Amino acid sequence: VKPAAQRTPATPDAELASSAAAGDATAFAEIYSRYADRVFARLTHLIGPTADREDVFQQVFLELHRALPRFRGDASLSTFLYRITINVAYDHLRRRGRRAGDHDPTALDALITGDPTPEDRARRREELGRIFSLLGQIKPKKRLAFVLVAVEGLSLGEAAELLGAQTDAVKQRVLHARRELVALMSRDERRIERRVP
Amino acid sequence: MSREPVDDRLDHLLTALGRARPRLDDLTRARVAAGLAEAIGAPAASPPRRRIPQLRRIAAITAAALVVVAVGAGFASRRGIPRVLGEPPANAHEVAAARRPPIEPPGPLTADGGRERTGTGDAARAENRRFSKEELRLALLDAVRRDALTGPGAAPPGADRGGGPGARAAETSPEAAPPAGSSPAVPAQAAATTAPPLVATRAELAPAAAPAGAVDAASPARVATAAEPSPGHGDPSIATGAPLRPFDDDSSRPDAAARSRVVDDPGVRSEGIITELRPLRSSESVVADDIAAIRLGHGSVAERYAAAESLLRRDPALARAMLSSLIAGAPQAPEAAQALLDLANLAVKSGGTNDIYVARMALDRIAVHPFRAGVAMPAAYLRCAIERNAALLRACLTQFRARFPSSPYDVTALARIAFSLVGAGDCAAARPLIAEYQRRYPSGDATAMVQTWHDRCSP
Repeated sequence: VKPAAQRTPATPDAELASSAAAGDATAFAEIYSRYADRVFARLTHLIGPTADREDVFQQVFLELHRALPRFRGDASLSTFLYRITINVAYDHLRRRGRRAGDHDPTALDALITGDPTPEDRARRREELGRIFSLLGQIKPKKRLAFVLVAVEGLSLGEAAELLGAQTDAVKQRVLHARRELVALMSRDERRIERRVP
Repeated sequence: MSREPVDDRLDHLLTALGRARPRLDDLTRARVAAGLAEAIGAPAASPPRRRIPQLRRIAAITAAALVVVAVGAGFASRRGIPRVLGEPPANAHEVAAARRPPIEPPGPLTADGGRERTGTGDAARAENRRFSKEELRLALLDAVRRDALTGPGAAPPGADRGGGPGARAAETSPEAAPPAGSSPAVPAQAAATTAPPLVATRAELAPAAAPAGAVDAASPARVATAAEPSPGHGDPSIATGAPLRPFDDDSSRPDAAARSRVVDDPGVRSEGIITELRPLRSSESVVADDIAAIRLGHGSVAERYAAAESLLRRDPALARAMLSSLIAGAPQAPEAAQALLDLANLAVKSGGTNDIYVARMALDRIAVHPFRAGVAMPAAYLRCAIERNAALLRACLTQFRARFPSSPYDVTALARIAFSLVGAGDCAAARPLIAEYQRRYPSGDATAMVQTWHDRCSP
């Protein structure tokens, strides 16, 4: 284990992981510092900007701390961490159950980048609220697979590796998820049309 | 009216989600780091019903291993097979000596005359665990502070970010200092341009207060630097998705001009960074002050302590992390003594078994601190208050009363001694104390209860 003083920002992840697994607190802090933003972003895509997102985010690193001694370096640390992120997100979604949910407009607003006009901002906020609401109504497994492939742009193989599933299974989940989302959108729109004379 | 197909609309929504850039703000980052340190440092919570079977299993395995070793040794000694377990003891005395556990060196004397447990006891284990927790807390705080100053990923790998993590590491822990020669290799001018100008940070957080503040001697130049575009300016990979960073794109911000005017302000004092914050603390300013507190890792010790103190009630975990950082960075400062007392108080308030050891550790450090005089009285009372043994508690409180007769804690100390004596059935010793309480504090908080004790101890 390399002493903390000899570590630089370019220290490889594997080295950091082995140091952290050996009980080096600074190495773990460096991992946190390096990956916190990416994990937070991915987690938000997976579970939405919910009120308990911060707790889930903390849980990810807690699980990482527990799992680091088992990290053998077969995959990269980022893959290992994202796999943990997905597992924690899956547990959270399963525990929470399927529901459309109301999302805090401020939290949705925080996802919007750039400097849009107020109208544009409101429209994008509404779009984000709608997609998160739709995603909240499908099964967690399908949701995770769909978000990884359709939103994050991973290939089926990459998503399968992260999800710990067969590529064909992931493909089926993505297809089913898409079909369900389309059906949900159609149903919602029919309801709205019925209400509007 | 023709509408695009549902599939296309879904794709549109997905594109919107893909464009969303969730950002981890500094406060959340710090809060999670503090929570993480708490959670990781805490002892593993296992249900009590599972502890006994685990202990039994361990005992059974140990016993089985001992039996195997004993049988093997006996077998080897009888048959003359080469012994792999070492030479057997020569006589009965040596057998007994070999079976006896090694004598541990006595621990240092404690204030109450006892000896601290050292070696393999539960207390020592708990303390060790707590030390690692403190280490982790400090490390996470340092990482958070570094990110708050520079933004994660703002500097390319290998580059020194925001004044150099090594410099900060050296500030908090001597063993974490960068290798010799790495810091001097950075040219002074380059360091000046990459170092985070704290004045700009505070001015950015509280633009209205900026012109009224005081800056240090080097800060005018720093403010001028801050008004210039930063090296990361214009880089989309840095601009998007990165958390709040103080100094990117300064020139485009409306308050950049106001900040640069600070340089020309003749009223600017030159003793220390801006010390005046906005008087009004709206919910926004509370958050801003938290971020300022994190960013002020390089501020004066007094400022850092003030920032930590303001968090004591709102966010004890973060406050604890900041106090730990302050103590590590400036262990001999007057504020460090107060910070140690705050840490001890926080530990006692959290009420965990291990937290008592943290509190004791902090109080031990106060006892040898050069500025212990200012906190001696509350520290002495706290040391008594965490005593669990009734007799030691009474002795400690009696000593405290003799040492600080006019302390505001005297009334509580007196009541606690009396209560402890009544509880132990020693009315003879309790009676004079009860009488003293009734005479000196007739309207004290515990008057009614003391009267009950008085009635109980009346002959």
